[in-house]
Amino acid sequence: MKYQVGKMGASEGIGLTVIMSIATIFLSSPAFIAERVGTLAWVVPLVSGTMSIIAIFLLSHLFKRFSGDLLTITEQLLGNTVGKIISIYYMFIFLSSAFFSVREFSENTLLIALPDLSLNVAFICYALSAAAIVYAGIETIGRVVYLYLPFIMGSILILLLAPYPFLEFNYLFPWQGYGLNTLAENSIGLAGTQAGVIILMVFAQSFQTAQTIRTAAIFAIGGMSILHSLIFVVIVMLFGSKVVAEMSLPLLEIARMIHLSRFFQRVEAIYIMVWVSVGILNTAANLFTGLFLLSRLAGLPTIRPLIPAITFIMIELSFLTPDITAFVAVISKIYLSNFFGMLIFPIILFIAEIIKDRRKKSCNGVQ
Amino acid sequence: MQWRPITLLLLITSIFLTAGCNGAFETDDVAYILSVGIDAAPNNQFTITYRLAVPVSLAGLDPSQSQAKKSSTLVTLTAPSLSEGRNLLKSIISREPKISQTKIIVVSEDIARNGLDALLGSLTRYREYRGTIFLAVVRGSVREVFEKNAPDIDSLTSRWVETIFQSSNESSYYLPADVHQFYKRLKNESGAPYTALMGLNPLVGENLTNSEPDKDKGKELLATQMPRQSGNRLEILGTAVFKGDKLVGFLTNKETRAMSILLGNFNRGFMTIEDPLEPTKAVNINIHLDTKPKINVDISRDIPIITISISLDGELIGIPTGINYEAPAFKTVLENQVSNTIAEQITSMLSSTQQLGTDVVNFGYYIRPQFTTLQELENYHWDSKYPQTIFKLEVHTKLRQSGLMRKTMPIRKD
Amino acid sequence: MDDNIIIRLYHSVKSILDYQPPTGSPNFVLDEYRPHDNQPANSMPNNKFTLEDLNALLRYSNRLQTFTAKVNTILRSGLWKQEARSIKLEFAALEQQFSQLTPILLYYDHSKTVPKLQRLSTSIDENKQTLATIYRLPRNQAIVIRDFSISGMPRLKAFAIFIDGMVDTKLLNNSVLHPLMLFNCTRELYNSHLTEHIIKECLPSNQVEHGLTFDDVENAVNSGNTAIIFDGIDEAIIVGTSGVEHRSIDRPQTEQSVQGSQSSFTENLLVNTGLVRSMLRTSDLIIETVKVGSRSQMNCAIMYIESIANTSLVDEVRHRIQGVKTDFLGDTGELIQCIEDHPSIPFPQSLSTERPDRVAANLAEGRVAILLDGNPFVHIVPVSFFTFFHSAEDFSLKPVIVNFMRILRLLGAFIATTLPSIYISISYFHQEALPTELLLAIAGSRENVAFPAWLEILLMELSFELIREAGIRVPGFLGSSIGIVGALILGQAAVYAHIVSPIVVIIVAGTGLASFSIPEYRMASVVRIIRFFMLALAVTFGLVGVAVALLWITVLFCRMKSFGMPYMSPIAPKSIAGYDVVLRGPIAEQSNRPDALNVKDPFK
Repeated sequence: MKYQVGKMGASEGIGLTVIMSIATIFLSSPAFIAERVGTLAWVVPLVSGTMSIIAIFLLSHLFKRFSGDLLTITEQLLGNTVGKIISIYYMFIFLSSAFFSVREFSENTLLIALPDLSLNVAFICYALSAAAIVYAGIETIGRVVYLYLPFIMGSILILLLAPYPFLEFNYLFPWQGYGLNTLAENSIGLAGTQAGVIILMVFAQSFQTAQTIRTAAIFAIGGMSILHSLIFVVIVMLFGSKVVAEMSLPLLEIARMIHLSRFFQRVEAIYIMVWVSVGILNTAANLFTGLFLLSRLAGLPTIRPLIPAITFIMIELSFLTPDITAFVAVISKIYLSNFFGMLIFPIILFIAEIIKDRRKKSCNGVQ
Repeated sequence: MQWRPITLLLLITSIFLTAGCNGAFETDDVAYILSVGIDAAPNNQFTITYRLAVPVSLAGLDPSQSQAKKSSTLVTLTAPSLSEGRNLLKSIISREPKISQTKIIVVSEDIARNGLDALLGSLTRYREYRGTIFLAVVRGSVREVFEKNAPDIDSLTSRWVETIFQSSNESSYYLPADVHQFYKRLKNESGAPYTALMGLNPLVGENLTNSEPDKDKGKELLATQMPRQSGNRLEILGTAVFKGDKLVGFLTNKETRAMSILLGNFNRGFMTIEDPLEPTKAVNINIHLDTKPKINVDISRDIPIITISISLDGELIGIPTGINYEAPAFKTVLENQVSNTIAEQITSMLSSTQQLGTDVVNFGYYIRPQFTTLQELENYHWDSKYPQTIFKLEVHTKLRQSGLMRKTMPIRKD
Repeated sequence: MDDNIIIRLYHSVKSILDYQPPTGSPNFVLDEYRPHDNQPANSMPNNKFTLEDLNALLRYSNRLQTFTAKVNTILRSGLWKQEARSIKLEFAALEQQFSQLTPILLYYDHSKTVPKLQRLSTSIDENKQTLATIYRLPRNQAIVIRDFSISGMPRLKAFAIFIDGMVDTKLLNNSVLHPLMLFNCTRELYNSHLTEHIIKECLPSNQVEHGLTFDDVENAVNSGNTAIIFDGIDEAIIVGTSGVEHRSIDRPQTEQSVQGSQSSFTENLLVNTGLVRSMLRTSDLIIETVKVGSRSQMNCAIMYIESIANTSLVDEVRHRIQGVKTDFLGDTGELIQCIEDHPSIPFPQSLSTERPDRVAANLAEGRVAILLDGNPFVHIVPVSFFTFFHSAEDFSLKPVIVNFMRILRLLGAFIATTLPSIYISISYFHQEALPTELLLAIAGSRENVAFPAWLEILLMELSFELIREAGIRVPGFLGSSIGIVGALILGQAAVYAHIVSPIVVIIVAGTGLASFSIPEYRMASVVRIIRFFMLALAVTFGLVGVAVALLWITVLFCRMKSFGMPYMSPIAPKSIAGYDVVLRGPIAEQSNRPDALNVKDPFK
């Protein structure tokens, strides 16, 4: 089925990585980070972006020795049992991301766009669209995101530039915020929310060369980190870090502040279109990867029969917590644990490869 | 045909069809609230006045029909909070009231003095309010203001509100104050929130203040004090200054202009300056703020020292005495006169704000780069240091233009 | 004496009350076809000899009888020495015919219901009889069988069969009948090289072929050629004489251009291929003819440049066309729906054009063109989505002008799809996005309108579509005026009658105009339909619905392929584009063919 070598290019890779990391921009993460880090918030995405790039580069270095993707390398380096446990862990990361995306984006649709919509209908709308896109395949998702990318980038940039009459530069100072020690913990938290970038490694066999993966990683993760950082810069300049910490949806608040003249104001409705597409595509990508890992684990030839079942499970499980605050408390813990999958585990693999290398060298008397 | 896809399709369609219209409102099922006014009422209640738009009068298809009706209508009721007021409003008007088109929220002085905390929370939490709504404080009764406000040129009061605040920097006798800057200054580490000041003029045409004229012949006025006899009764002059969320004082029109110059918002405005060589007559000058003022706050000592350097640009409008102020020698005299007048006005404004203990110009903004962490900034307590601050002010004026006349020739004397 | 009125009244009342069964023949009812109705009652299929066999034997015996009578007269008149040779040849022919009449062969041959794949017989009467059966002569009157004989030793009987109206009569007379009938030959005939000899030396026609089976003869005659069949030879000579009347080369009807060539294809395949060849004068240009259809074999041509086009693409196209099994295929549109990748998705997956310059340009890029005889529209495969927004004269103007027009077209396509939906979603769900004065003006003008906004839009859209359809069907000079009159009157009157509000008229008119800016007709038609689908989603979900619909459409595009090339290349799977995707670059930079076509020679 999907285990054969495919031919996704750098553009699809960029698309997939972008969709995994851009979804958090539209949710509450800037508020949490501003509350804990203060005016240093704009450094946090750069640090987490660097960590992600390091993880991808470490793993892609491993590909020089081994062929295959993340799971096959794990099995070769650490054994079959550990490989199975790790694949369950990654499957959990992706599927949980899909569930959280559905819940958060549906709740936010109710909050912003359609307040009288029934929550069930919003869930079904998102879940069904995502399931339909999963049928289309991961390549299609990558291509659609790549096609949408100029519009998403353009609208976010317009969003950042339009409130310029209200921006005040000095609100970015004092630059160390609440202290540099808060940086580490929050970067880990943010990196956890963006753990999905490991998708490049999960589908490593389907990309053309290892160089494609590296190019995609640099452009996508780098670009997204810079964009995320810019958003922090603008929002702290616009509101001051105390007010940002109060908000549920910081990016939306920037959109609501646009008041260029009598004609161009109150235009956050247009920003809704960008954000709905991102939510659905993010859910679809996470769902596909989770299902892919599940079928790899269970040895199934295809994922299509699983899709309706997992969609229903997704809808039900997302309803687990009764309100959004408890939900956010739960997912922030899970996102913190995702960090293990994103950076720590690749480092473990890398160290394991070095150890195995040395052992090989010591065994081989000819060298 | 296979039954599974068909069943699924039917179920999904029925979900979407039975879920209702998802909050879709026809344009004629909605009443748009253009402005909200809040008065104090006994027993901790509010008297809320809503101005609702009447769209039929603006349709434009049938001129005779449209001019007959007024373009907006008023509803006044008493309720314990804004949201309860919405509930009660629903029993008066047939359509769903929507706040998405509200332009301004007007508060009476009493409520402002007691604190705006009851209002502010709902202003930032509820999705229909937004940060670009203007805020104003009224001296007097808000309900009367709404009833008597009848702008002659604009068809809608919402248009009047938007346009008047958009063009505020043409004289800067008032400032565009919205919820965003109010909230930003309220929550962040420095800065005093402010709102615009409005009031109804009694139209008696007399002197309603007893301010002494200084070198600037214009009077120091607050809203309701302008000496005039006709025109729309509502006028907007001056600023209401808050400490925290409570109203503590007012700034007159000239103090507001000084504040606007310090904020960098001032664009241009006319000044009538006592002629330095003939004190009984006045020279008219159009001043214009060239670059933002350079403000430097020195906190190395116990008492902060703020150095302000302002450079203004001027255009001669009228010289009744005919003195040749276009020539360089005289020009310097006039320039000094202008600079001194403005410096005096700014100093007086700053001292009155120091007395109130409110940092309206937000000098605390300029000390932020001098700290490394937010804890240090908070520990410094700028608000307590502000009343003792020493100001060093420099104003430079350059009269660049003299209009279409090169010099004035004297009137023929017999 | 005539009946007077009272008696007539009495008779009519009586006929009502008194039932009489109807006289006269019953009305015609088109019922199920029952094939056994036309067979004679006493057919016995297990007979060893059928009616045709007996008739064939009878005819042979007649021939034998005439032959013996002829030999008799020759012997009696004493001319044996001169005639001996010809008599012997004729006898040999008769022997050959007898050998074909052995019962086994007869039974085997005639047991086929359609004698198509039968080889021609050496007996001229047999051939004539079989052809009469095939063409249902003498009912089918346009088929002409012209008997003639060729002088020689002995005189050779022959006949020509052709369809009157499809042959060029002058060509037939001058190059077939004239040389053969006046042909003076002293050689002996009745040998197997006769046809070769006639073809090479006697027929001055420019296209001559052999025909061996009845199928070949049938195909030739159906295409307007003439088949000549000789007595004693089991081959036919097929001469190219087709001269069907066709329309002359005209201006293009649907793809107007200001600059650029003004010729368009006609219905004749040879004329069309000739036009393309006159533009691409390369010997690499290959035009393969494939026959499509079972009952009526339409000529379908595949054109490509051998040294550029990908061979697997050409093979795939040919394979798909050959796999089409149908009776009649009248249109290239029908053909392309049979062979394209996703027939159920309404978006077009091939470019249909009636301009030879566009075909030539696309062939030079490495694409394949499909033509069908009888239809002036040519389909070009494979194409990407962006090709539908290129017009024919995009390369004859400067880049700045062309890029402005292309962006305008894409904008027009987007507006045509989404403008009503965005209006509905903003007016229902997101009223705050409009400036206050505009919103109050809209609200005011909608005060007196009884219908909800979505119904207004739907009514106006449907009436616009009706006007558009009516404008196509109304003949002649009335067509355009009906459009204008209808639109004006309908719009204005609807506003005054408070059925719709004025802004809806503006929106619908803007949408309609925008949809006319799309150069490709099929794409514009799909856009018209998608509009309604998006409208439904916008009414239920607002801008969220519009975003979801756009997302679904984009996912569909990224999933589609057009003959193996992804629909959204070169953007979605990124490939070297050749700077002619959305915007067009200067001519000097157009040095690469599109990479997605995987051509043999990537440089222009």
